[in-house]
Amino acid sequence: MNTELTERYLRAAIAGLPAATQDDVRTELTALIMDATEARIDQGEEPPAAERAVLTELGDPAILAAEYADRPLHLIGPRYFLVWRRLLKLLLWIVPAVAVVGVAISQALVDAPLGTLIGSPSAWASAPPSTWPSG
Amino acid sequence: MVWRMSDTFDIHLQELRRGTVVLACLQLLRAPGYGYGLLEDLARHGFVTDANTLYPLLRRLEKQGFLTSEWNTDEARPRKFYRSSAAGEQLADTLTSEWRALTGAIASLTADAPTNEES
Repeated sequence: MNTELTERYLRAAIAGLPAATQDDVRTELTALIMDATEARIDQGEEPPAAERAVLTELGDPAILAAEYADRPLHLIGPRYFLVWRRLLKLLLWIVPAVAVVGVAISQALVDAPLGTLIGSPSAWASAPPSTWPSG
Repeated sequence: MVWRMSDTFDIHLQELRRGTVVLACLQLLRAPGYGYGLLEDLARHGFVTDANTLYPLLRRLEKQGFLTSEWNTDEARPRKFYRSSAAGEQLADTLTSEWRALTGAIASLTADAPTNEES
């Protein structure tokens, strides 16, 4: 019977895997952990300390789960990193530019000072219809 | 994090060793083997690797068709045994010849390497 610590470890290590693989990995890992723990107990370690040492040596179960799932542990890999960075720099000035233009247009339409337009929500609600350009 | 000379050495050493663990596994698993025992065998032969690297590696090699696996239910605790497939043994042979070629190539480099007096 697995201890609670090992159970929690196993659950974390099989997270994200397809169901059939989960059972397989769980059974395989259980035996590996148990055997390693027993080897340490045979060498004189206390069972809880041995178990903890084995699991610590196995490392972060989330990393193990990612390795089992062949999931890359990064979002943007080397192949697209430069493209992404160029795009980001481009957007960093395009988006504010568009925002400023958008605000300027609405300012011209409502004919109010820029500050009040951005600052007070009521400026949008209470803009008198007569200020809309006619024709 | 203080960057020491030994850290850069470690990275290069790791790069050099990385491929050899695959070859070592394929060779050792010509006879059926169990993950935990394999870890000890590798260590005994001088191949430095961690459990959290080896176990997923074995699965990956099985997925690629170089290993076959079988559950051993002789004891109450089922254990997964791996063994090199025909393709795995072929890959082991190919990697070994490549290794020999590289060894010869490096040996020729050190044989021809200019000594300090010649510069």
